[in-house]
Amino acid sequence: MEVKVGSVQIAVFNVDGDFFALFGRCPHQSAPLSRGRLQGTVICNADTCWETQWAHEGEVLVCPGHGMEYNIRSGKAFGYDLKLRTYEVAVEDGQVMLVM
Amino acid sequence: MADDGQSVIVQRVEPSSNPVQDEDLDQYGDELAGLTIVDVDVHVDDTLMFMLDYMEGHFRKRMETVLQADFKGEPGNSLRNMIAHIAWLGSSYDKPPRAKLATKEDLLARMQKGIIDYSILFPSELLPIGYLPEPEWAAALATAYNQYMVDAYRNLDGVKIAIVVAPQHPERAAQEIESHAAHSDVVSVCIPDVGVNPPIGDEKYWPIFAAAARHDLPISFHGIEALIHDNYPLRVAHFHTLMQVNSMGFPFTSMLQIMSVVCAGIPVRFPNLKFAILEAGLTWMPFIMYRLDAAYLRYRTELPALEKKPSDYIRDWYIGTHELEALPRRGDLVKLIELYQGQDTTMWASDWPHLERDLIAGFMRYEMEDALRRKILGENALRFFGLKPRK
Repeated sequence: MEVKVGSVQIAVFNVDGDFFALFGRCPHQSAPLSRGRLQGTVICNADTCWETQWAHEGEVLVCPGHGMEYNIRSGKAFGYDLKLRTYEVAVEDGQVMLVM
Repeated sequence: MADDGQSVIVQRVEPSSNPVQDEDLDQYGDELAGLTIVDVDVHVDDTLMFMLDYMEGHFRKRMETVLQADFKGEPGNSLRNMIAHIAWLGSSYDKPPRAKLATKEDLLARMQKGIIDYSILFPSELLPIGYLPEPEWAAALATAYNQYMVDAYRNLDGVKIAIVVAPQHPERAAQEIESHAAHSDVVSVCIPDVGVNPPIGDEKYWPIFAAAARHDLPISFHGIEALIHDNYPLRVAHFHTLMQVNSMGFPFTSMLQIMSVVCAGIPVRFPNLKFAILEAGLTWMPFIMYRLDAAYLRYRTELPALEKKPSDYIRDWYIGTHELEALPRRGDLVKLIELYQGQDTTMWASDWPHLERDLIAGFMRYEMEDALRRKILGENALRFFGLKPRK
């Protein structure tokens, strides 16, 4: 879902009871990230011995606009020198709160 | 044939009718004094006859056979002309197809003017090496060229050499790099990029990049007219005139090879390896950078090794100014460089003494701040080739 704090849109996700909050607009063309789906992605680096692998299943937020992918935990964009701001989420007495 | 008084006497046209010229340096001598000037694309006479003494076994016999052929009356014969210009022989009418080849004495005379701090020598004769279908023959030619150049042009003030490798033989190419990397006058590995198929990012070529990275030698891609290759990147049959081939061949090849290297993740695998593109002009750089960025949004998962978008890698590539496109306004060059973020990567290149060379006046006519002009005329090249300032 998307919440607005002041003028800032924040995308909040509930993944099996774990909550994640990120800046809610894709820097590319401002598509709403709260409407993106969560899936995995393909990686290839020294850790995989430069073989392609499917990884991060359920942790990759895919922008509904053009498919840019973000690690939902870190906000880091896959394949870009770019990181979305992330927000700490606290749950108290059944209330979900963003720590700003 | 009737003698109508109009017949001409047929005789050989010697390329010496178009001598090596340096008047532009004299014209700008005062303005350039005190500046570091590096000409990053200079050619000397490296026709096949000089390589004969460096060929061995049956390849030496083969070279002897080649040298007995007479192509176009060119002194020493020319692999380049056999391949590159024969399709349009005579099409330039009153101009010889090539300028006089610069001798060692011509080069030294140019350097002795004291204006140019460094000349980087690139191959002429072996620029079509990527076309040659026989890897062993191509590798033998590269080996002979490199040894000839190191023997003939070492220990000359301000003269540095780019060795050439035959990409169709990656193991021999890596050996060439190992053989010459320690020589203080060898400053780059030239990969003639036209006709190289599959494109140069293919994994089969990675031993070349690994060897260059191991010795911290930058890679320079140098183009030539894409003339005879049957399918990559352009076919001669697409065009009726040499002008069209010349205009499209260099930049198309450069774009294809940059795309191939970046998309193969080579800058990720060899993060300290530096790349340059020579003799392809500049104006296509923004196109390929941002076109790839747009496509990358959709196809990133095909390139999972990349850690940033393609233009973030390509803007690190160095690029020679030759053949500088005819930008109409004096402020246009700065605008173009801003578009591809090339303030720290653009290097002045003349292609001296080839006919299509750029006079330095062609660069000086464009308006820019002095700091940027100093970078392009020399400072960027010092960094790319790892050279020390001489002034």
